[in-house]
Amino acid sequence: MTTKITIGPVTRVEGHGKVTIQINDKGEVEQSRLHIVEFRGFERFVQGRPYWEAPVLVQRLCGICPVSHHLAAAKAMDVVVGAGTGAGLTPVAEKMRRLMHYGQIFQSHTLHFFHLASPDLLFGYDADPAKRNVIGVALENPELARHAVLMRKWGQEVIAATAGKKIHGTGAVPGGVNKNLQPEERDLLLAGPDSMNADTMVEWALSAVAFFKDYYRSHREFIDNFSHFPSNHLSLVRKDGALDLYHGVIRAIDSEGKRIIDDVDYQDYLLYIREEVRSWSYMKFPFIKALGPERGWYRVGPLARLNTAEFIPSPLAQREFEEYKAATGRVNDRCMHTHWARLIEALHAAEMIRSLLRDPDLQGTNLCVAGTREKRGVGVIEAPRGTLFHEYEVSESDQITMCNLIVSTTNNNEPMNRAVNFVARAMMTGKQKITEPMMNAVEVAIRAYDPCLSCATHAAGRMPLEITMVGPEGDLIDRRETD
Amino acid sequence: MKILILGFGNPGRADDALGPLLIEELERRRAAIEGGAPAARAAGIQAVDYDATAGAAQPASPAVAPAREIDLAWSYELAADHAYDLARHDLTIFVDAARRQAEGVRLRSVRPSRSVTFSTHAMTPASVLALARELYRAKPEVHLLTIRGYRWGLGEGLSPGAADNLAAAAKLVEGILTCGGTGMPPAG
Repeated sequence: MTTKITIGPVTRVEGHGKVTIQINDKGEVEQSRLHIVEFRGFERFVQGRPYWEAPVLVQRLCGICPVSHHLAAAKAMDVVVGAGTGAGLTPVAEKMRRLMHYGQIFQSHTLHFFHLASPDLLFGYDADPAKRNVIGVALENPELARHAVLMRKWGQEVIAATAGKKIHGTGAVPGGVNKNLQPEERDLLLAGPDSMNADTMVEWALSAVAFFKDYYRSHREFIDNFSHFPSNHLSLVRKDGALDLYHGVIRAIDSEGKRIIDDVDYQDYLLYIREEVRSWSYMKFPFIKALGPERGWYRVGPLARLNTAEFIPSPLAQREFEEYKAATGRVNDRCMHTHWARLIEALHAAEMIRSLLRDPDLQGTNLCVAGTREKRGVGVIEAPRGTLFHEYEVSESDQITMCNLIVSTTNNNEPMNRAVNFVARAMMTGKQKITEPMMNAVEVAIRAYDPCLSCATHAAGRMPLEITMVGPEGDLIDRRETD
Repeated sequence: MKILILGFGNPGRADDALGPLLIEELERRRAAIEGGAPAARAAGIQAVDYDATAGAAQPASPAVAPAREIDLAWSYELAADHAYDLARHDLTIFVDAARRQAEGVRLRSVRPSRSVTFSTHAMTPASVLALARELYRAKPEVHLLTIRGYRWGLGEGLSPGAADNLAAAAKLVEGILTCGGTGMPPAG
C-alpha cells in the first residue's frame, strides 16, 4: 500500500481580533471598537447533558485555563447536589481543589509573563515584532526563558497530580474530589528533579517580580501612563478581605475605592450583574446593575483583585503587595500595572502550593459530601484572567436545562475597548496611515488583559489583529494586519 | 531513539479533535507498536510505504528498526514548554487537523521559525522548534502531520470524512513507529 504524502501550508480554524477606528471630519478619533468573535454556542451545547458531566465537559471551552472552567462548574454542581459552597466540602476536597487552582494560576501567569509581557518589557513595545517575541527573549535572556518554561511545566505537574491528568482532568466532582494527593506525588512536587520543586519555584517567582520592578524603575512614565483610565473593579475576596482566588464573596469598588458591591454571595450574582448586547459585537458587555451600562462596567483580573483585596495571605506576596500599594496608591487604574499584579499573584500561588503540599489533610480519604438536591447552582472562581461565572439549572431527571457563562474576557470587554480607544486617541488623531508603532501600541494595550481568545472565540491557536481606520462617511482610510 | 507524537486541537470542536484522537488511537495500540515489527504484524499493523515530496527516503525495514521509546501526548495548543519536550526527544511528530489542504493526510518536515501569533498563548510547531534550539541547543528531527477535517462547530464526534482520514493517519504513524523513523531528512 502506498500513502501519498504531500507538503503544503497548514491552516486551521481561525479567529481574529478586529479594531475599527472611526475618524471624524476634524481628523480626530471619534470612536474605536474592538470586535472579538464570541460563540455563545457552548451554553446550548451542555444543555441536555447530565449535570455530573459538566465539570469535565466545560474544560473544552478553553485550552489555556480549562482548570478554571472545571472548578467553576464543580462549584456550581456542589450547590446542585446539596454540598453548599466553600465550607460545605471536606478539608481534603477543598484543599485539593485549591492546590489544583493555584497550579493553574501559577502556570498561566508564568506563561503570560514569558510569552506576552516579557518581550515588550525587554525590547520595548515599539521594537520590531520579529525580535519582540518569546524567541527573542530566549536569545536575550535565556535564563529567564528557561525558568519560565520549567515554572509552567511545574504548574502543570501540580494540575496533573490533583486533577488526574494535565488536560481534561476529572479531579473535581459535584460535592468534592475523586482523589487525594498521594505521598509520592507530594514528594515529587516538593523536591522534583531539574529544579522542579516548590522552593525553587517560589524563588523564581520572586525573581520575576524583581525583574518587573527593575523595569519599572527605569520606565516609570510609560508603565504609569500608558492606557491609564479610571474604572470600577470587581472580584471575589475572602470574607475578611483577603485575596482569595478560589472562593469568596463578590466585592466591587469604584475608582475612588468606594465599595459598590460588598460581601455578596455569588449565588445572587444576577441581582447585581447584567449583560448588555451591542449590535456591533458578538461578545456581551457586563455591567453592575445599580450603576447601569454607562457607568457600571468594570475590570476583572490581577489589577482588579489587588484593588479589591485588603491583604494577601502569604508572607512573601504580602510583602510585595505592600510595596506595590505604596508605589501605586489605594486604587490602581494603570493598565500596565496589571503585569506587576499578575507576578505578585504568581508568587502567592507558588507560596500557597508549597504550603498546601505540606498539609497532611491532602492525604485524607473523606472526599465527597452530598445533601438536599437543588435545581440551580452558581459557581464563581477567580480565573487567571479574572472572575468567571458559571450558572446552571438542572431538571429532576438530572439534565442541565440552562447554562449561563460569563468568562473573564467577556467581563473585560468594555475595559479592553476603552484601552484601545485610549491608545487610538493618543496615537492616531490626525493620522492617515496606521504605522507599526500604532499597531504595537494597540497590541500592548489589549495584551495587558491577557484576553483568552480560545475561551471567548473559536480561535484555535491563531489570532491575527486587524486594524481598520475609517473616515466620517465610513470610507476606508487605511487597513493593517498582523499575525 | 526517543520519539514523541504530540497531537493538538480541541476535542470539543468536532474535527479539530483529530490530533488528540489520533493520540488516543495510538494509545490503544501502544503495546503492539512498542513490541516492534512482530507484535505489530500480529496485531494487524502493516509497515507503511510512502513517498513524500520533500525527497524522503523509504522508511527503514521493520526488521532493522532501532530500539525506541515512544511518548504519546496531546494538548489544546502548543506553548513554550513544548520546547522542553522537543529537546528531550530525537524525533517529534506534531499532529494537527487541517482545514484547507488536499484530502487525506500530509507529512512535512518542520523548519524552525521565529514567527509568533499576536495574542493567544499558542505557538506553531516551527516556533516551538526554534525555541528548543535557542534554549536547549537541541536539534531534534521534527515533522508535522496534518489530517484533513471538514466540520469545526461545537460538538463531539468526527465527520465521516475526517474519521476516514484519521484511520489513514493512524496507519501511517503506526508504520513510522514500527519502523523507528520517517526516513525523511530533518528540514534543517
